[in-house]
Amino acid sequence: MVFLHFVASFALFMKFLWTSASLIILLVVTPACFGAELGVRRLYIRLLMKAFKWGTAKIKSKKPIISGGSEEIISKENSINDLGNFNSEQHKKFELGDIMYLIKSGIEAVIDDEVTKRFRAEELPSWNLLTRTNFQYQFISIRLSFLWFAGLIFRYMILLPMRVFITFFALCWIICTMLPLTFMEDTSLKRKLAYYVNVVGFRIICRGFSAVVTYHDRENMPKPGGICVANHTTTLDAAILMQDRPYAILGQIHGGFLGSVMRIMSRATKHVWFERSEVRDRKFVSERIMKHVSDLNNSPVLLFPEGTCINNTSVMMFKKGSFEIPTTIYPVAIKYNPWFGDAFWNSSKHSMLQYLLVVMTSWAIVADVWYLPAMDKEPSENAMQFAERVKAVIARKGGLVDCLWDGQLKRMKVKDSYLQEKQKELGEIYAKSKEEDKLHKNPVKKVRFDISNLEHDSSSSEEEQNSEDNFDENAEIYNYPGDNFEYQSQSTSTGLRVEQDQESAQKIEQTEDFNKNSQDLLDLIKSNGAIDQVL
Amino acid sequence: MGSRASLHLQDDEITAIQQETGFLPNQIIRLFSRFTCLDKEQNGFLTRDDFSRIPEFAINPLAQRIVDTFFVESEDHLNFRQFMRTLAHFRPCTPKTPHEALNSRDNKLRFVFSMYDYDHDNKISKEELLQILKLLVGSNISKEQLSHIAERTLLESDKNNDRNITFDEFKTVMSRTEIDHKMSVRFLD
Repeated sequence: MVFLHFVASFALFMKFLWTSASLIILLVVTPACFGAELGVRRLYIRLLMKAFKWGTAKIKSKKPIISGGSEEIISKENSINDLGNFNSEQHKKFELGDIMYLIKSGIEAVIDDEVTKRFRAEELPSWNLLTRTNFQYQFISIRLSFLWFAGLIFRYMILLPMRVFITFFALCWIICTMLPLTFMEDTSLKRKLAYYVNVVGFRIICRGFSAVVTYHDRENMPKPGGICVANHTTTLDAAILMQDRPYAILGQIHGGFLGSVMRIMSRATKHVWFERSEVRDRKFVSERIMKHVSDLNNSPVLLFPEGTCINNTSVMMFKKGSFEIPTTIYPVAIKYNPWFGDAFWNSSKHSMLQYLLVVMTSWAIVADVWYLPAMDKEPSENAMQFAERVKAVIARKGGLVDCLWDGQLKRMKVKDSYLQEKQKELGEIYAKSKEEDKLHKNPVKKVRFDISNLEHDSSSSEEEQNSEDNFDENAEIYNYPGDNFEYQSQSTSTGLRVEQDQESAQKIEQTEDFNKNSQDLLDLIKSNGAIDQVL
Repeated sequence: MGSRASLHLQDDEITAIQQETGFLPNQIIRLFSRFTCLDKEQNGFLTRDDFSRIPEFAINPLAQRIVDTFFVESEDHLNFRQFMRTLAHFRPCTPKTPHEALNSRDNKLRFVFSMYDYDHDNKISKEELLQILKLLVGSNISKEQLSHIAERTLLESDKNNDRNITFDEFKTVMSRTEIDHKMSVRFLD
């Protein structure tokens, strides 16, 4: 008897699951196929905003909100980059009080610097009902706690299973729809179908984490024959861009089962994937990209020149590798709305799986994408300057801070050579001053500016740096045992000031060949290889 | 996932720090947020390594000495109270600032003095001057020239000819310098 009851209720439960699953599929897939939206997600977002406003008002009434770090703490006056401000005359003699400038500069840097805050999630001015972003706000009032708890249940019990299901379904869908394409010959019909299959597939994936994306200026959408560059916040960037049009992704093919899957998929739509052995050959890589880009039947290549994920408050240094290929650049700015969920992937804090869990239990991923007009390299500028120009455009459009520092500082320490640059500057200030000496009658010794000393020091420290460079890459860059990724030590990779990089960039272009510079490109391929984990 | 809530600052701690340093509560909370941002391992204390991870700080020639003044009390671990105590020196001061306050003119001067005074014997010797000069210019100035500069500075400041600069002699030399502006950070708010 009991057994029968059990079977009956189990059957009912399965039926319930089955109907809800098919309903979800219907409501998700059908709009995706037609590029339409049911409007459910946007309505959901509006309701959430109302709840947040209510929550903020409630918190403000009980205790003043003190924002953790979103506003400036100090107004910086002694920049370490401006040692010229240090003294008004060109040369001066050393005085005991001179060190005060450097002391104040150091303390200002301790209190607030441009780099370390970029690798931590952006802080919200108030609370968005997630424990992960609060200062114990849920204990302020009963109603707020109730709302928070209800939200918790909703997110973990309803949203999470739904999203996981949709994502799995999306992966199966993509494989099923791409498989027939692999058997087709390369005709224009196939290309049209591939375009459609790609876009629909990624639309379904994006529904898997409730992405609500608004595209602006779609007339500037990247076209075949160019490279699309965007600021990088998370692996999901690629999915969000690819639900509007397909791109060719730059990456490495993995070994094993996933590798064979990737090889099959690359027969359906053309990406720029390299076998592991091919990545060593820089010339080969740049030529392959050039070949892909010259064929107007191929999708534009998608690149993230920062090389690493930044927290979406600024755009950090663009690696010039992508900008050396002689083709049109299509800049795209992506800005996430932090209220609904933090899209930033802090790879030192979360592994890929943990990150996906965080994303799928957030409210939603709300983003704005701006397509910017195409840009070409002017004959008068070098790759570094072009990169800076594109970066400035993206930063301005996305409302992000344009930061000169290198995103790799997330994992590496800044190199000694920059400290030595500062010492050199100070040396110049003090060395040539006339030392008037009343007590000693010896003539002032003329100091020859000892350049050879400096070069010797900097090169030896860079060699040390290279051997010590084994930063943790397995978060975003596929880590193969036995691989030895050399991080390019040339000053082209970590920039302090634009002028500095121009000089060294010119030096390098004179003394070395193009191939060495494209080490940047290889790093990008390796870092973009993480895209494959999404597919 | 480590949460900032676990390192939350208690209200009584905020009051205590306010009394000791003179910072306002919201400044203390903002600086606490900065402290946790630098504290990579979320241990509740900072190490010397945490400081070297700030690029703008790491390229400062005096970075080592500045870190030494933070870590004066304990060798490796810096807690938030100690952090704030050092930063308190850089609050602006007025003629009305009490003599004992951390940001008084006198204590600011003491801070600069302690930069030079490696062995904390309350005197700056020529050796210590040379050390600082070496930090400043690296190998860009010859040893002889550096020694010359150190000698000259010593002779200008040392009034009692004991080949050392005491704190009082130091104060005299700096009496005409505008300490407040040069050793104060502009806190917003």
